[in-house]
Amino acid sequence: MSRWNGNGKLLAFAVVTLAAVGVRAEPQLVFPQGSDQPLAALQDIDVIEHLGERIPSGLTFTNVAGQPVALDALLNRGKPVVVTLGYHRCPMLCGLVLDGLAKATQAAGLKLGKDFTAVDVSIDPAEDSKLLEQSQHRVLELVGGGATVADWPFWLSTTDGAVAARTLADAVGFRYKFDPHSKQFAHDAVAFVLTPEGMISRYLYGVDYPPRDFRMAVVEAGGGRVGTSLDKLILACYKYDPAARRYAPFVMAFMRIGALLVFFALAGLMTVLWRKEIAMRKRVVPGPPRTTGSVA
Amino acid sequence: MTALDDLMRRLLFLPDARSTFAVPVDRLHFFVITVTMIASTITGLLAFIFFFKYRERRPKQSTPVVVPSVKFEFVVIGVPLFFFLLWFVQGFQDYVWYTTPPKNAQDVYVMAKKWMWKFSYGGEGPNAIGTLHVPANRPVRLLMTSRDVIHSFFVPDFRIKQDVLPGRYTETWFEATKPGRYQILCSQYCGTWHSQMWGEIVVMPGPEYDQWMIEQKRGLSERVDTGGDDGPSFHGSIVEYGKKIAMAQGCVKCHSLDGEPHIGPTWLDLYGKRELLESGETVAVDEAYLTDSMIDPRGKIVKGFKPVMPTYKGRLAAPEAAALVEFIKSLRTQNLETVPSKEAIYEPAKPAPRK
Amino acid sequence: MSQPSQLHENKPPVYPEVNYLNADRGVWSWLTTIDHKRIGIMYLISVMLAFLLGGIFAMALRVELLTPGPTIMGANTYNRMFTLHGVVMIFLFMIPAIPGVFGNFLLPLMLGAKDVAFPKLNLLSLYLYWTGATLVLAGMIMGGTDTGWTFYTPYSTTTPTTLFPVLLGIFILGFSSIVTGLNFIVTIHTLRAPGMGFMRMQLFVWAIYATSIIQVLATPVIGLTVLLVGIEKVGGFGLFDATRGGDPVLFEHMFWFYSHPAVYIMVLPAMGVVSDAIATFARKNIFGYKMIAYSSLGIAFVGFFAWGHHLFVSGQSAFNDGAFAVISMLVGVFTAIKVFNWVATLYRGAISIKTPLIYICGFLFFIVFGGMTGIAVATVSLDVHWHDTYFVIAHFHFIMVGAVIMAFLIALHYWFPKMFGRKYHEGWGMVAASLIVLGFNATFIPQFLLGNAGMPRRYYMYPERFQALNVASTAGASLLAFGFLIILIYLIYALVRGEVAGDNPWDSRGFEWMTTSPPPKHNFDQTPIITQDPHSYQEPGEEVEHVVI
Repeated sequence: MSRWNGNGKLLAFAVVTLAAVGVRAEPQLVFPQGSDQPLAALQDIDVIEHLGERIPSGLTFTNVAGQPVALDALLNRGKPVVVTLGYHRCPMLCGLVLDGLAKATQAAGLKLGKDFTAVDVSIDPAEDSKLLEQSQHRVLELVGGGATVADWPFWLSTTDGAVAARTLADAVGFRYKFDPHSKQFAHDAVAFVLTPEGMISRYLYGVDYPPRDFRMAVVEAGGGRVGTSLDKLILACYKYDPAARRYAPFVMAFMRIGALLVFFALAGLMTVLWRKEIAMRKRVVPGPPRTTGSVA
Repeated sequence: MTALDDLMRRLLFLPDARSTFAVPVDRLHFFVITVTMIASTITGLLAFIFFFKYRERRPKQSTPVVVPSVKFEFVVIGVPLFFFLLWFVQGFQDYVWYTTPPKNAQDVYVMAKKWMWKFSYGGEGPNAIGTLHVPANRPVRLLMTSRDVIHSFFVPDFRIKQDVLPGRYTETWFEATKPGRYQILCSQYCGTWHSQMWGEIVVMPGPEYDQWMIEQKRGLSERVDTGGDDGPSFHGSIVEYGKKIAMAQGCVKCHSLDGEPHIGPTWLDLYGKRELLESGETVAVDEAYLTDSMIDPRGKIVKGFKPVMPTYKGRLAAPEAAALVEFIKSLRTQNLETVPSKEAIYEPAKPAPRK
Repeated sequence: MSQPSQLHENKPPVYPEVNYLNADRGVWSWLTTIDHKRIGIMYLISVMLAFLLGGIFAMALRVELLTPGPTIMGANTYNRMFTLHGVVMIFLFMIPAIPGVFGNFLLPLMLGAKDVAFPKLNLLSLYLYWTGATLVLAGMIMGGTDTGWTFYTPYSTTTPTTLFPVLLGIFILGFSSIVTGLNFIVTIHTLRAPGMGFMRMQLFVWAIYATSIIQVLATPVIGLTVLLVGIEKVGGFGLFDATRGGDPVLFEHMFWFYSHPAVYIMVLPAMGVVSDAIATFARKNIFGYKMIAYSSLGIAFVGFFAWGHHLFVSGQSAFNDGAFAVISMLVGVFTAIKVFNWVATLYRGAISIKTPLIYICGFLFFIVFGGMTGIAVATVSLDVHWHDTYFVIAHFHFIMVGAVIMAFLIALHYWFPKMFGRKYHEGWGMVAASLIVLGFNATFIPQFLLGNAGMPRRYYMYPERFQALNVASTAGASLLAFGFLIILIYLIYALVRGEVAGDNPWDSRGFEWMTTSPPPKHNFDQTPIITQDPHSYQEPGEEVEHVVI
């Protein structure tokens, strides 16, 4: 934690004037009282970002055919994985999230199955598998390009009462709750981008993803293995560190180089000018002639 | 001493000091501002006196060469520096204390969003929009983040302020000293309704607060987020109440207030507009249409939008629906144009052509 | 140097028949001129227009704030308006005002030079200014932007309003500023008249020197920052936008790394103006010349390390906050030195009370009050309450309006005869000056109190309890506007029909008065040789009384 406690006061005062040069924007990590877990739980509908963390292994779900499937099987295949959590009776958001992803895939010029894999996990323990199949069919048609069911599997959570889904949701910080009144799940519209190794790399909010953002998110998660060389070039300029979620070092480097160039240019100019001044002073004959107001 | 403090507060238009931090801040404030006023008045006055005392008495009057002594230079640098450092030391001590929340502070999570404050308590506690309930004389720590742009959490009566940043958490804390209602203001510019991003802190006596919390936890499963302690809380105009409902019910997740098209038609200038429907008919947006659309959202869909809105039948009481309508009516831009809503931001799903 | 004024002692003042104003004729001769004086005049017209525009915005804002709810405009209009008020006033008026107008006009005169070192570059900087200004205005006409002049991300990168031309305009204005600064530095080093060492330069020249260094060093940073925002906005990369992996606070750091020193780009020349004017009107050598000169450099240096006080409540560490607080206070110490020296210059002077002196009196009060409220907001614990409230607004308007605009008015009145060879009406000058000093207090002292009461800045609507003070402030603002109107009228009148001033109406011993007013095209018929310190009001051979205090 970068806040100072009382003991730091004197020291702070002593070195206070030296600090300016080293100052930069420090990220603030906040821990709940008596816990060393950053922000464990917000009992709310929300998304708590867990960038840079790994999703737990060993999670299993059920496919439409009723067979158990492991999330791990999608990982470590060299492709980033886009995960969505939702349910298919959902009157509004879930369908839009899926449609949004499908459209972004097309618009970004990415190929589902080749550049990345997607997976939709149902959070509803009472999911209707027919409805789920319909959704899957719809989005796959929307994606086009010959994408198959294997490229974008839709999984059920009917066998374990959605325990695995809840674990996955907790891991990515997706807080949802069941509203018994409306018999709906309350949740946010968000998709998660995982690296091929299962590390959380990006959160895509909303239902409409700008193609460039989407492409960058997938390319980044792929660690440069996806995308064209232009993408890689852009990435080199805009390096993204999932844990610190900052381009800051690169922006800072850009600024530092700029500022240093200017500083040295000015310093050079001043050196030349001052050397001339000193040389001039040496050459001046003492006692300049007293003038009568030459101009008036 | 406190009488003098109160007098100073009155003179300086300061609000009451209602937190433990406010008292030392105000004292230092009085010290600094008094010295400031004295110093600037003396300077201005001295210049003014000199103008007359040393006015030009005859043309081309010559003047002595006045030069500073070392002692003068020393005083000139030393006196201001002394005062400045004195204030710094005092101010920094208070500040370090203020930035170090006590270990026993209760945590409340704050989420800022254009243009609302959302509070949630750790554990099984309730959520609230716009209103934060806290106990008096107990430290409360706020862990804050923003969902969109930078906001700033400002409570004048407590003398606290903290920027709320997207993508990271900031914290602040306070210990309220007197039960009452205190205004929260957003002090970092955040867009159209920055100046309306207000909230309220309700400070309750400790035992009353504990009771309230127990009730909240018990009743949580039966009630949707409300900000109030006694039914729907309703302290402002009907429009503000409607705005609160809109936030609490999540209307604004799909309906924007600033004219930007979203999942649903924007509410800005919606009232009075003639909308073209999917069915090809047009409908005038009036109270009846707005209320109908809350109860039966799929009945009359505006062209270009999808029937995705769930019904709010049974979730909105009649006065709440009325307040919502009033709120929608209040959303007006200067140059009201009666044009249909812009297209929705998504396109209806249609299969890609097969190759 | 003898006494130029003596030559004309008993003759009526004459208007020099041929001078820089009429040496060449036609609009084209102005647009293609490389004469620093003409460039200065063109800057004067441009910045006055900018000031008028910014002032109209300010009045509209004040009128809107008369009532807690909507008064004359909608929220979106209000937000655009305060943004444009800030952008126009800061980038189009404050920054170029004194260096662009008076720096250009007077620097070579004060140095005894025929022009600046790079006259063509000087013209280029004016054209860059015009280009930048046009872009900003274009952005305004295309709908304006609503980010505030601080352009904080991620708001600025997500706003649907027309940001791009405004940013591009500011980027180009930055180049204008850099070019001017470079030109001045080289001019001061290479074109001083024989006999003028660094310690014989007028304090206005010292101030311009310090300012130019800041301009050259700091302005590229805002250029780069604006560029990055442009890249993010147009290219869609997440540099500052947290949802795309950026860091919004980083923007604040980079923005203030320029914009805090920029305050000194505005204030230092103002201080230079006062140092020179006060010596003339007190008929005294400036008290503590070296202290004033070096404190300018001190402010220029320390000013670079104080930016973090704009981020006290942004969540940076308490240690950083403390460091920035102490450094900010050092600026206060340097300013205090200057203030003491100015007041001491009046001591035992021979003061003639003229319009500029009224402004000087106001200036001294404003800079002490404004400066010390600056110390108050640099006191971290106090700043928590005041940050982003009207207290800060009032504080920086005390410095920007109270100090800089007062100095601009001092300069305008003091050097008006120098520039145009005519006198303004002293009586109306005094009336307007009193109105302005009074109106200024009435406008901004209520704003300090509003800040105390807790009214945040950039509020279109406000809780009703703030209304009384807002009304008071608006009333003061109309007084202020009225004062400016009077000035505009009598100055335009003086321009056409004003009494001929003569070469040195104030009997000043500043070097710029060594030539005719208005000066000839090439400033001096022969290069002057400097044998005295500036503002030596002792007659040659006179017994000089030395006093040490």
